[in-house]
Amino acid sequence: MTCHDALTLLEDYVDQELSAGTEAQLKKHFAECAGCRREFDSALLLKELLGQHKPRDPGEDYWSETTALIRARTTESLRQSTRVTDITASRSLERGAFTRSLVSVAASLVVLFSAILLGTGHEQRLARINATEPPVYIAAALEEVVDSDNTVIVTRDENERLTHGMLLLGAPGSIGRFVSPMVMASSTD
Amino acid sequence: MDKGIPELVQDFLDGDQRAFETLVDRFKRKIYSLAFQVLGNHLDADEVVQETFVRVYRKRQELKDVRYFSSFVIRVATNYAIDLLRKRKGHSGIPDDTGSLPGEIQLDLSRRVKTPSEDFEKKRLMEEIFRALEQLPPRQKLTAILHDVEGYTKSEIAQTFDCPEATVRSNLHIARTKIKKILKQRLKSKE
Ligand SMILES: [Zn+2]
Repeated sequence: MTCHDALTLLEDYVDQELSAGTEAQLKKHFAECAGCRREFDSALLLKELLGQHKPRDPGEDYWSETTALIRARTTESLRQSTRVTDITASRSLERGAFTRSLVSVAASLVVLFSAILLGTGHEQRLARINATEPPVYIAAALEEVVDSDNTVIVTRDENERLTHGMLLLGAPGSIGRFVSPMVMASSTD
Repeated sequence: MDKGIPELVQDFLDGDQRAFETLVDRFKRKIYSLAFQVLGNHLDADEVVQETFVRVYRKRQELKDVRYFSSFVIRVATNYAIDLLRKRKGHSGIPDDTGSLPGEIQLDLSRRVKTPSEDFEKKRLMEEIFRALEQLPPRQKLTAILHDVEGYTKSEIAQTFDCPEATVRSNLHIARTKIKKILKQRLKSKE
């Protein structure tokens, strides 16, 4: 083995990548050649020193903080991708709201037209009432409302007026309808 | 029993966040050490560690084979570290020659006497090696660090840089030769 061969193989020897046969030949050359031996020693020392060139570990506090930061940043990106779904969901919600508003517009139209129809139907009925016996629309017991110690809270008169009022204007939350108080009075008597 | 890397990687790719965090635990010190070697300070190493894992997470679909996860992580880390290195210092002005080994440094490096001053001598040499490493172009520097400091095999480094093993071998040889040359010049100038 020449010095050139030895120096070519030197790094592979340092990296322990030579076959046993080549390694034996190289060792034999190093034993005989001081120059190549020094080259080998310095290459080995450099590799050893580089191997020890590790930085000090920054410590557990650093690692727990850093892994928490990484977790936050990656779940953040996970959240960003969910945010897309959120946006899609909110968009479908918006679509739902639009549909709902359409439905409510349609419902108001139905109510309006029903009211008009009912109104006309009611006039016809009123005409019928005037012509014949008035039909009973509602039966309400007009009694006094008393407390547990028999003090009157609502008198019979008040109850009657209240019922009339409700029938005229509609009970709270209901759509009022116009009915002649006389008709109602006569029908409830 | 702890799960192996390929298994963890598969779980991670299937959307298991905890598998990802275990992978972070397994690789974080390697990345930190590597980044510290390349950039020479804690703050930059810290930035590389965080950015590497965030990028690995976001680029996970690019990982074609779970067996190559290690190379994938190292590649992401080295690419980011190289970018940061260039941003910090600009291109290295060291010429790409592979001049022969000077004699003086060989004597210095081959002196392995067991004296009380050995530790001091060793420490001084380590500092010089670190400065010498700093002067290498990024690829050579990284190859030397990955191979000689971090202990990666040539085939792993080839995988990382997506280049033939011969290129790694040659880069490593050039890096080692340059370190010795730079060391020699530094030690000579101090005499
Ligand atoms: Zn020789």
